[in-house]
Amino acid sequence: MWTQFLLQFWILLVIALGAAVLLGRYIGTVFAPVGIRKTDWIGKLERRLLLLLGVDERKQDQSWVGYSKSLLLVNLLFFVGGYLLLRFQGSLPLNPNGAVNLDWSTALHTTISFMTNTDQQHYSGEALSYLSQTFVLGTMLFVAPTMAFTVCIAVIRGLANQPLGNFYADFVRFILRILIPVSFLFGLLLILLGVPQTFGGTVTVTTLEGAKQLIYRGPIAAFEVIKQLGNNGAGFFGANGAHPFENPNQYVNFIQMFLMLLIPMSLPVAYGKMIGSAKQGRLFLGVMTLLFIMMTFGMAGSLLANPTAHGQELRFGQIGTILYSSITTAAETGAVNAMHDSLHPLAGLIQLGNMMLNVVYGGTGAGFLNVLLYAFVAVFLTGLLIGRTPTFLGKKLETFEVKLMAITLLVPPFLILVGTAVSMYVAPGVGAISNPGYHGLSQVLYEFTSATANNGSGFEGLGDANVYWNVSTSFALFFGRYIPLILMLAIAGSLKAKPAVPQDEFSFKTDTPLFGTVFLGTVVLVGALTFLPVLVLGPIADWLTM
Amino acid sequence: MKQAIRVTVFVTALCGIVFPALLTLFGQLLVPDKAAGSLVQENGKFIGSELIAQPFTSKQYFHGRPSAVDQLAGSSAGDNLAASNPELGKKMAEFAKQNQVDGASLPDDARVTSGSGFDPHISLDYARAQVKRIATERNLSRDAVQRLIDQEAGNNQYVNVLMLNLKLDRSPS
Repeated sequence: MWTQFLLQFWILLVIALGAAVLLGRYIGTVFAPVGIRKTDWIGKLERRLLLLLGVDERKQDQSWVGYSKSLLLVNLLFFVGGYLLLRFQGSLPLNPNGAVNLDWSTALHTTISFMTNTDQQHYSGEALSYLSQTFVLGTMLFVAPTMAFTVCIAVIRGLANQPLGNFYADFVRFILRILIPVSFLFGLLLILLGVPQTFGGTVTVTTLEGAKQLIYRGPIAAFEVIKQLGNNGAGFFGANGAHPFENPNQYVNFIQMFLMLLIPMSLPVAYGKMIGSAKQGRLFLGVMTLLFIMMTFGMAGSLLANPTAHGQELRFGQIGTILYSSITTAAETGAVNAMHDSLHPLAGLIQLGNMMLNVVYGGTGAGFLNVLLYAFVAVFLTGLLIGRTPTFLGKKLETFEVKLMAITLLVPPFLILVGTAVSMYVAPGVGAISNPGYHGLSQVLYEFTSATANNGSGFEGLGDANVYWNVSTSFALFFGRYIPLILMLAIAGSLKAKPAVPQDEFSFKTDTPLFGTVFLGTVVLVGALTFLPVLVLGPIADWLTM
Repeated sequence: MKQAIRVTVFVTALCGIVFPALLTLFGQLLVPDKAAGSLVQENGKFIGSELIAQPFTSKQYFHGRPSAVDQLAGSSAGDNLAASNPELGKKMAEFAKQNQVDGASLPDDARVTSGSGFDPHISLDYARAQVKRIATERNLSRDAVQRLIDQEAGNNQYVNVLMLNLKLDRSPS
């Protein structure tokens, strides 16, 4: 089994890395600041379109404050519109299955969850109308990853000492140039491979034994492709990627894993291109890949030693389950092709680890922002050790940046640990636990980790379809997403405003193997120190007492 | 504000209407059957989908995997029992008893629920364990039944239960 695992793993990794390098260079080219970008014919069309929408990129460079405001404004529009449409889906068109209105807390949680690129679902997909699935949530699957992507690009521009750019232009450009074409191409491929795409509604069939069976269908392929490409992870159905319509065979399974990895892997390459040092981009990509390999081997170790079909689908095989479960938590997608609650506790440990570190590629944009954050922290720690002002790409990291870094770094553990602790203390929190013993703590911990890291998968036994869980995880979703985005923009804005320190032989070099090691050490130490105690009480105790 | 509204409307129209509509159109043109959910017809009537498990309980058909949901009408889900949950052992014993075939030890997939509750496949081992019962019920030789399994499975280690049962119904006894 190990040979087969290694074979499939390396093939997937090489293909994904190859495609990501190409995509990363493309992103680096088309998202270069207006002043230095060459305009191709698509660029000319794009400029016309943007002017029609009232956006003149050449004249409307934004400060970090302006960029943040525009971003939050667009998010607010989608929040309000999405919430209302879900609340009243029952009386709206495209509802052949007679789905009813969502209650306020489910609609609130679902809207926040989808707009934060998390797609944690406290309803079952079968409970939504086609209008909600396609028009409301389907649009959010494109919009949500774009938010973190635009921030990531603006931050990179700031680090490269260039104007941050215009939010609206970046927003439209990413969707137009990357998400739509790639989604269309792979969406077609998914349909050819058997994923349904129909507005035909549920059919009733007569089974061989004469019973009536309802078969839920829908425009699944369109949903599926952007769910993976944008690291969203929402299930069209309750069972998500384990459902045979969402993921009918090994080929579709492979494509889905590839799509999850594609954009997160491409961003370090784009970064290298945009700051003019491919070497630095490769270093980050290398460290992330190393972490990914270690985590996935851990997953393989735990599941190959304890093979089972429980909570799994035969068509993917043990290896398809291992790779998917690791990738979906590494790239913060949250799609599942097996029920994570039922997997071995050590598999759960790896999944939690992936989400807590949130740099093992991480989701579109958000993952690479975390990488940059950890890189700042690594530089800062090194600066403390040798007693010099830390610099990153020639810019000094001073009190203001370090304060924001510290807050950004502390927000996720705060949300995860406090959320878990409170839920273990109050009745509706504990009451939701479905598995006895230490695994119960893992269920609660997983829910908050997944919400904060914008992953969205779950230990689905947890009875989370109620007001307490909808509201409490909404906090984790919201702050886990927007605080890091805005603070990273602020750091970039502040760094951009500073004069560059001339580089000399004593400058911090951030493209060497030495820095790679310090960076890796920072990621592992900060992650491990913060979360080790709760991991010991949850999955590790669960494993030791089995 | 004007920019934000215009951009929001444009993106929503593109991603929420044009994209799914185009994809649906192409799907209908290229592979209408797959786009409609790989439904299976027999004598002009829909009898199921190749991709979706249906419940089989009678002795003359191959039985599928245990499911945590009602396969006739339910939403998809697993049972979400933890590996460490004592309930799991009880459930496994129960399923084993239900699906026990001539005292043979059953493979794992016959004793535990699938991820979706609609796994359309069973392992070759589980299929083999049911050969004797089906051969007796249908007055077929065991070899004939085994041949059907091999045909349906191809190179895979698993076999589609609905398609296999259709083959059974179509084969002369």
